[in-house]
Amino acid sequence: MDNIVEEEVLKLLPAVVLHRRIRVVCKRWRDLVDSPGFGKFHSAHHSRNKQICPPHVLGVTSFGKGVYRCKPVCCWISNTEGLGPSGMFTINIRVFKACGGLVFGQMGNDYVVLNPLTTALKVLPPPPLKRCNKKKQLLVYSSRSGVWDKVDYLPGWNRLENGVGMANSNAYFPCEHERMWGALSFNMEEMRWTVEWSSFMGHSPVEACWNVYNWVVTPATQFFKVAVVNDFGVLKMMLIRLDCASKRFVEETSFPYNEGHIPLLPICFYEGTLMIPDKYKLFFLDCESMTWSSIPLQNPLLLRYVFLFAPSLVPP
Amino acid sequence: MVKVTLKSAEGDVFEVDEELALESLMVKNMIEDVGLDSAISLPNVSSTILAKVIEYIKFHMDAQKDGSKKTSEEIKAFDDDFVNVGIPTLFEMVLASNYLNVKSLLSLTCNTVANMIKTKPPAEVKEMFTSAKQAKA
Repeated sequence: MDNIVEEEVLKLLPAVVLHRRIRVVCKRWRDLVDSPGFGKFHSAHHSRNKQICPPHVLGVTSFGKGVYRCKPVCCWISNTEGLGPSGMFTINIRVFKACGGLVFGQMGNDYVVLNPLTTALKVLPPPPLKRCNKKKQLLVYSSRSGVWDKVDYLPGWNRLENGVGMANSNAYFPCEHERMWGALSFNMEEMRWTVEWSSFMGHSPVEACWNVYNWVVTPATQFFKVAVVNDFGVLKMMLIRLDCASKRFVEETSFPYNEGHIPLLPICFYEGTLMIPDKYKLFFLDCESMTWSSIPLQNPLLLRYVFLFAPSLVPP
Repeated sequence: MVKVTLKSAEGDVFEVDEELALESLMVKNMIEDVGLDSAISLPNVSSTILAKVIEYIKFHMDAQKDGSKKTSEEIKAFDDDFVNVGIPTLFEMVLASNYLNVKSLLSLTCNTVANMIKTKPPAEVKEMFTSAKQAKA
């Protein structure tokens, strides 16, 4: 079908379906859904009878081991259902990171990339051995060239911990530099470091909440974190944004949270929705309207460490 | 009653009432431009699809006429039955109603496709569209 007709059909679908599923069907549809023209076309059609649908996550892993599929919207993961047909992915994958619809992890001694949607698995070639000198290096694998690259740390900066997040071909790292805190980004297209922000230790409120794992970076390079705070006896879950310009925290929104446990990390950002799991529930925060919603998890005991990831059809 | 001659992609000729032909805004424009003397050729619409489109318009025109005994349930049943065809045919009907600019049929067929897509996982949607494309080729 040609483009105009596809637009006619796709504009009828609710935004949630578009962003969670239609967008990942093929590259042309992704571009179509992302284009501002289509956005206007779509919202013009839906502005009359706007409906709110719960968002949908493709998958969750627990303990960093094993990949689970969650069913669309209303149901949640089941612990008996491994990924893929007939339990194809019952093999253990230790997941390090989920990003852009792909899962990166270790299977035995191999590093692997898994697309949970197509169940395609790619085994990466073994990374180069780390040299024994003290020079710290970052290993970067390019799926285009199929080779590993070694990149030196930005001079002076060290203690790069696991990345805060990935967005726009950038990997973001929290790190320190003499008496400074900072966030570095490494652009994997240009193989180049950038200091996103930095601040002197002890002179910034940032470090009070500084924790490598609970930040999430959006494609617009906004840093978000969720914290549970005690506000005069009322426990609240609060969304905090790091304002890079003023190096301050900005409280975006909060809601009463008396669940008696803490959110699991990391949180996940996808298409304007933040997803925050805790032991029994998955919370959704729509960043445009700042509305919270939640769905219960079916297997609370199974979950200790959770990766949420958004679907995509990137070829493995 | 004035008749309009429509010519499908295969060259088959369909003679229809002018009133019916005017439901297609595209044909309406053509009539305004070239008049009623010559046949209006529709190279993008096959005979089977054109016949279906005419059937659809005819039914709905009859249903809208005064003294029509058709209930809204009957109309809905007709619509449901009308789009209960294979995916390749359905896609061709979407294309044809877009080309012929028949608003009601376009919204009916588009809604049908949208409803089919809505609940399917991305892999199946992809499958559906690629197989439809192959069937067409």
